[in-house]
Amino acid sequence: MEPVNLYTTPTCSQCAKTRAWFSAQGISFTDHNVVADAEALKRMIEVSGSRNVPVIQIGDRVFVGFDENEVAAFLAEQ
Amino acid sequence: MSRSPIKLRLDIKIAALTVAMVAVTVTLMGLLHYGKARDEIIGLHQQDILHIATTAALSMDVEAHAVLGGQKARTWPAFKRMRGFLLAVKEENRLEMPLSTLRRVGEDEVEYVVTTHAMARIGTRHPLPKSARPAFERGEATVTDPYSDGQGMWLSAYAPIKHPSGAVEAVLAVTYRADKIMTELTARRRLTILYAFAVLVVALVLSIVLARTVTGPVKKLLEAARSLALGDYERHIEVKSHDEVGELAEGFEQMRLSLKESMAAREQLTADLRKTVHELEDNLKKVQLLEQVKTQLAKFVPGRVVRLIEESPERPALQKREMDVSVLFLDVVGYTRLSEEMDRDRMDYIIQRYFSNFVDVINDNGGDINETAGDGLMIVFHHPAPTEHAVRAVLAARSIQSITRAINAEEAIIHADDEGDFRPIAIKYGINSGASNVGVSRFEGLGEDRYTFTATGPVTNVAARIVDLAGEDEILLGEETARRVTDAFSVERKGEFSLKNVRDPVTIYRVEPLPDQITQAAEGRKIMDEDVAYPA
Repeated sequence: MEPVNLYTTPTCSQCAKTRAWFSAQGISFTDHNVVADAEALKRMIEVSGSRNVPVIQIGDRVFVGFDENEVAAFLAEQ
Repeated sequence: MSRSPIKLRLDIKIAALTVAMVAVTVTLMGLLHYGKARDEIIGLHQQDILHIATTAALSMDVEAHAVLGGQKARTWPAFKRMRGFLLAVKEENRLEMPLSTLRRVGEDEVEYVVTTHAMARIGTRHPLPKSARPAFERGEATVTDPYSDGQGMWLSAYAPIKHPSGAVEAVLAVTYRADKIMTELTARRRLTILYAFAVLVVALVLSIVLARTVTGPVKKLLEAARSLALGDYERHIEVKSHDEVGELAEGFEQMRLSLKESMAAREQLTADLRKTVHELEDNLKKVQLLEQVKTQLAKFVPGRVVRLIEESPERPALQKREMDVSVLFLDVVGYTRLSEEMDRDRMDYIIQRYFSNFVDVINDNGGDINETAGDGLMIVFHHPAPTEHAVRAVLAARSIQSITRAINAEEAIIHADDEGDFRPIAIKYGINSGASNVGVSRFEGLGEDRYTFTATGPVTNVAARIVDLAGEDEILLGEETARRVTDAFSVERKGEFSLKNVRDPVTIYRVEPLPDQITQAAEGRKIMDEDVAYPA
């Protein structure tokens, strides 16, 4: 399983849904708070080219925003 | 087509059983036949020799014989005459062995009196032959069964030579070489065996034919049973036999017909079942579609309407009725300007980012979003306790205020080196409470009618005017709302205002502003300082 990195903020409700979904799937992940961690923010912008949260990075694949069906389909192909 | 082991075994079993039975029968019959033939042959020879002995004994001169005895008599005319007679009998009957007359001497011995044997034997004594004893003692002619002595096989006959008084003078012994009897018997035995073998060959051929006669119909039945097993219910089973196999075939045929009917019924049942399943699947798809429609519609319909329909799907209580409610209007300040400055994706993200949080807060406080416009929301709060829904409306506004500030702070950090693309969002709020008409409003158009579920009346109208008076981040309240929430919030009088389309001036109150800082408690979430790993 490729490492999963989430780039989130505390107030973002989509970010909370994303965390809950990965936990429910039994998939371990690392949650980076981009408003508290400047380096994480920099990485998020680098990998996604976006300042919108959440950003989901699974290996080399990057999703901006959380679309459950899209992420599930990608994981099913792995 | 290869022959099955079962058929081979059945053929062999029937043929072997038949041959075995025939072999046993033929052997028994052969033995019986041979035994009978042997007795007949021996009997004929016994009668022959007995007849010779008896006839010769009757022709003997008993008086003359009575005076003979010992070597001294061998020269007597009577001896010579009798010996000549015996030689003539031997010659006439082509006997190979000598004829002799024997006189009993004592209990168990006999003496040769006249013989065609060597002269030296005259007067010699020998043990009394057991078979000659009835001739001496009862005057009865006897004949022995064939016997062997190492030199050959023999038959001996003993005929009494009697005085006129009946007393036995002597016994005439005639011995017959019986070897030729055995030759005859051997030939008869060979013939019997030959016949038996021929019968066995015929029996073997017949048994194979018999076995095939039995297994032929069984083979047909076997093939029919295999066809049935493979699902061929059309093959007619016909065995022209009137025995048990024929009855079995008839039973098979009845079973085939029953199975055919059962299969037809089953296929019909399966077809019906498939049709029913298909219909059920169609219905299920419709239900799923309705569920999807319901889920999607629920996003556009006030939560209260959803609950009312779920409580009574056939007759939902949607008609207008007077209820005590609090109505909260919130507007995004400068929305039109923002939407002109930002690209559409960015604007969509902003709306989703802020309003998603607003919806959670509104739901948590029991509010129903009744109207949405590009820049604002109309939310109705209802609770049996009039004070409670007013407090919840203000609490929701307060929370939205805090969350907006928190999101603004986060977005400011994210866009710290990109300030040109970031505009803090400011919201203004207006709340009013009181009796209102809550239910369905119907708008009749030229095409189809339009229905909307909302709260209408002065309370709503005043709330909409109040929000127009509010400044950025300001929460304004109508007089009734302010009265109800003073125990929960710090409220100050803003002033008395004349509102558009409202007859009397309205006193407006303002909720004390939040401190100009973000607190963790206000946003209700913990801002983390470090990355957090979530194990699976």
